Amino acid sequence: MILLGLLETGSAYGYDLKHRYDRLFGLRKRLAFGQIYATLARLMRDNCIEELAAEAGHGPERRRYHITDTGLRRVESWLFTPDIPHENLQSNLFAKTVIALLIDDDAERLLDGQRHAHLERMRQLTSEKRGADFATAALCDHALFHLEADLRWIDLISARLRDLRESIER
Amino acid sequence: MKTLACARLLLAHDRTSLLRLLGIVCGVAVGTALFLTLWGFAQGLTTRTERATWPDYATDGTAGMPAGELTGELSSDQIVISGNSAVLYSSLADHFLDKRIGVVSIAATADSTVAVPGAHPLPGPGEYLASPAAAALIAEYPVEALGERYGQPAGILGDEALGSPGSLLILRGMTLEEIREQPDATVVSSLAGKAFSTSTFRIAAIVGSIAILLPVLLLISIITRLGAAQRSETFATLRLIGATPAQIARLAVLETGVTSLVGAVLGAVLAWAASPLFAQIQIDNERFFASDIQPSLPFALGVALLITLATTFVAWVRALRSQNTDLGASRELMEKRPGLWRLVPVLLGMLALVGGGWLSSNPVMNLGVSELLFGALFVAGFAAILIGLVLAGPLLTWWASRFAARFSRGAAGVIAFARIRQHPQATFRAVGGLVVAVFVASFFFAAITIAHVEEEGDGRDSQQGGAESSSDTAGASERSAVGASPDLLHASLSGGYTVADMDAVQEQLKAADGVTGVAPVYYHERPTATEEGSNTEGEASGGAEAGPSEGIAVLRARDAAVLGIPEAEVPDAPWIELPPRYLPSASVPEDADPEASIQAAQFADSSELRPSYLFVGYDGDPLMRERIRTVLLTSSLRLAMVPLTIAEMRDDGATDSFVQEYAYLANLGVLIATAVSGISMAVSTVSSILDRRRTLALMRLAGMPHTTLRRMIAAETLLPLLVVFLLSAGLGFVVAQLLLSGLTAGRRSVIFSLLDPTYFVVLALSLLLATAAILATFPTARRSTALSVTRFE
Amino acid sequence: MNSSAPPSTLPGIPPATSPGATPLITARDLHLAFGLTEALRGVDLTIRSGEILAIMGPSGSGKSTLLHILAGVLVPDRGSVVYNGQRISTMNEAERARLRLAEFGFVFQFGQLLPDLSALDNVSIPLLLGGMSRREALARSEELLGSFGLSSCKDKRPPQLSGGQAQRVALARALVAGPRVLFADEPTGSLDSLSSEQVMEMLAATVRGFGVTLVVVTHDARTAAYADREVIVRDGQIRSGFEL
Repeated sequence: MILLGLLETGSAYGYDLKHRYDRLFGLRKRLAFGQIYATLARLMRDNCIEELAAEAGHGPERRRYHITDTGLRRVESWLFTPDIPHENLQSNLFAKTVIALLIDDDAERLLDGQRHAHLERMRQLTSEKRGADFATAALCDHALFHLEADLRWIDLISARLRDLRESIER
Repeated sequence: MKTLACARLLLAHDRTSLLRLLGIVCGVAVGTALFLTLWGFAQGLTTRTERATWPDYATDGTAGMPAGELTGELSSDQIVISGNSAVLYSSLADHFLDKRIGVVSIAATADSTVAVPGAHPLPGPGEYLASPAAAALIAEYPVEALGERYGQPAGILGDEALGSPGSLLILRGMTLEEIREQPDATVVSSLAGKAFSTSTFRIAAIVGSIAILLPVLLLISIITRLGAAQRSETFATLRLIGATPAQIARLAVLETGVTSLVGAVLGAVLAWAASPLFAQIQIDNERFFASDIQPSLPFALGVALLITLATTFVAWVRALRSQNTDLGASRELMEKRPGLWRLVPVLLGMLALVGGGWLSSNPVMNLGVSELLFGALFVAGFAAILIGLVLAGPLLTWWASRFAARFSRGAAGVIAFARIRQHPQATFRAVGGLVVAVFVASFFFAAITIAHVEEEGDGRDSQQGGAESSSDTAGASERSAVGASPDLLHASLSGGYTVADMDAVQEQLKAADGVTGVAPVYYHERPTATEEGSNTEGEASGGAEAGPSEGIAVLRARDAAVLGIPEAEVPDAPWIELPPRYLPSASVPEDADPEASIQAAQFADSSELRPSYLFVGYDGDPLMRERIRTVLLTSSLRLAMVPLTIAEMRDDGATDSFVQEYAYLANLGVLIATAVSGISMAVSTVSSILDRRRTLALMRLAGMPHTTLRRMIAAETLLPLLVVFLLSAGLGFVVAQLLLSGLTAGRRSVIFSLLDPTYFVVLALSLLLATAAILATFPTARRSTALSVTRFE
Repeated sequence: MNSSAPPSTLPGIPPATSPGATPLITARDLHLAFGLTEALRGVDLTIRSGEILAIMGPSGSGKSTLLHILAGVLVPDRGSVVYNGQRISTMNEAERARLRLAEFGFVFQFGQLLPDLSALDNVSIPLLLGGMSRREALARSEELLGSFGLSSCKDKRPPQLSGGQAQRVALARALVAGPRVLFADEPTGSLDSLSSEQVMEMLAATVRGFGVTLVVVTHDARTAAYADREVIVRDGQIRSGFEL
């Protein structure tokens, strides 16, 4: 989905995509070329992208890809469907935020949406806690604190949106 | 809401709050007592002058007719009076040792109906009544030293004739023929003293009183705000919960009202009870009758009530006007920007002064009404300016900090000025008292400068109490020290004597007990101009006239030794000219040459010589001097004045001026106003520190390097303070100028070159104190976010 | 855990009603500026009777200002606030004060307990302001403190209480006059995790039990989790589109 999002910013060659991905998201691990080709093939099959000018004899990295309308819709719904709140979704959320910024979409809105989802979940957990036994309450509190950490992060990112935009466009 | 219960709970619930209330009570008591005492003194000064000057205004030539014009007998509703009480002019008084005694002579019919203060019955010819202090003095010494001068003691002069319990006054009886010989003998039908010789002085006195009393009221208002910050926090919480402004106002009124009432009544009673003690304080070398300065109990309580009403009213207005603009502790109480209306009272006051000045030079209606009008304008204008200064203070501070912020360099400066700009009222409140003191000091010091002008016109030495240029005196005494001994007795003669008469007198006097030498000095009028300085002796000899042509003093060469002139300097001639440096006047001309040699006197005939005065030498013992003085006074010599030593003449000259007396009082006034304002400032500083106690404690917790920060801020805050001080000092000068020129119809104005250096010391001290006060109230720590975590202390 | 069950009786409160759909406070187009700074730039909000609403947002967003306007402490420059049919944004200071005393309670973060008075005296203040005799006010206050499990604290001064205890005393004071709406501004702001939980548990349970509406401003998510819904205030406007 990230690649699709990157393509929304403009058509690009395969190797361009890899470089951009690595630059933005490859802090933990870089994407292997094989993975990119497989993903691109799948996207082609799902009609989300199309080739522009097929230069015969070259691998995917030399081919130029362009996003379709279907692809566009998929990116939108991906961006604005909040993830199921659980710990360790930062990377996903981060990616969504970056893409949203790149395509000049309303990153604030997506963060708000996620925040709302988080708070809903926290409300559920808080109700569950009431009258529960020690173990259950402890479990709920554990989840609550992690969700709170997420929200802190969301708040921070929200506040730093402008800085983020500038660093991406450099 | 049960107001009393709520008030007790919220404002008087524990020891600290009760202590605070007690502090306010004490402060208001002290302030009220101070106010009433100062008022008492102001009243006392006028009352005692009015009472004591009854002889002076009878004989100054403005009342009745000169005795010389009296034809026929004296009727029972008239008396003839001469002499002086020595209250206004000590040079006309009798002298004994270091004291001045007023001597008044009267001649009246046996059945006289004229009321003479303190004299029941009137002394007959040859008798005298003495004030209690004078009687005691006479009894203390041999009669030939003092008592003989006046005649037979006939009783004590009552207090209604005296200014103070220690007044020395003699009332002696004379026959009509005797009194007619006195040059100032006047026929009058009634006697009354005056508190002020002109309305100008009365206005000046009122203005001076206002300048001293208003700072005391300012002090009282500052005291009632003790602990105001804590109270306003409490009130803010109450307002949040749902107390209406009226409820809050009721609480504030109750608190201020009760404490003010108790304190003010306490202070009033204190002032009333302690006034007999204060009456012992000497102002102008005289104490007071207790009744002169003691406020009547109803009056004192009335003042207490007024003060209470004023402070309560202000508290009520403040409580109603306070806005609920604080949102928890995240934002401080924001002050409103000071409005331009604050300048109005000062401007109106200036307008009134200018108007009064114009009116006094251009009387549009009859003099009495005109005087009343411009007097009222001056007084009201001055009061408006003084009050207006306190009102305009925050606005001036705000402007000054905006102006100064443009020049600030460091971060501390920016912080400091932003601080002041946000809280101009709090800043000014800390130093308001001193700004008033600077204004009052400037006003008084500027006004005093005209005293120097006064005495230059009289040709007397400048020696006023307090403000002084000591170089002048030193120079003068040096010059006269070159001449005759200051202990030499000098007796001015009335006219009508010849040289032969003087020779006879000289023989008689030399035979008297204790006299070592007698030197008659004559006045020789010369048609042409002579050596420098010879016209001064015309003024100096008092009784002798200063004619349009110049003359010189002449004496026999053999008498020169009496004056202490070394034999070597005396030329070989029967008569010599008396050089200026031996003249009895303390004011020796500038161009007098101390080294000039003594000339022989040239004249055609001894009939050209007019006996002017006598020098009488003695062994230097003061009591002997008094005996000799008594001899001179009781002899048949016609004296123009009481015989005086040169030293006495010099000292008398120094204190003989209305303006000088007021200059002395003005210095006193500056002292009092500054002291009161200093106390005001100390109180408001302590109050601010108490308010900021929590913040200051937190500052220390946060480990702020307050020494360095404060040093930086100190340097930066001096600027706006200096601006405000300069403005108020400038205002003081301007007001003094307006008042002086207004009261004297343009004849007088402030002379800046004569400004006493002490003034600048006062200014510098005030500036330092004010800076310290502001620093103590600087809540720089409020911005620190760490503090938001701490709850209470 | 030290928190005790919510009080069984609360003076002056009518019997519990379920949180219905009836709007209790309606705010329309609120604007307020302090000097040149615009704190609120057009806020619409509806608060329903019996619900718990959390107002969240970054510092300086204007959420405290919003709370103060809803509670009738501040008057907006533009816009209206209607409480229970009465337009409180146009009332004068005295009228709003009377309304606050009768209908609202306040639990704020700072200095809302008078530090020189005992806990008992603090709680009794709203009753005294309303004209009750001191004896009766103290009796009621003591009863309420007891039902909160704070009897041991009643004679202590706020500086001598722990954070959690102090906030619970503040809660008692807010409830003692039987208000319909409770306004809380960062009630857990200065508290640690356990105390926060205790205070919010007590707060939520109490208001739910008696149909008291609660509006709480907080930046803390776990505090907001006790609410039925949240609104986000950012730059003086409500930015969340997720109202029910």
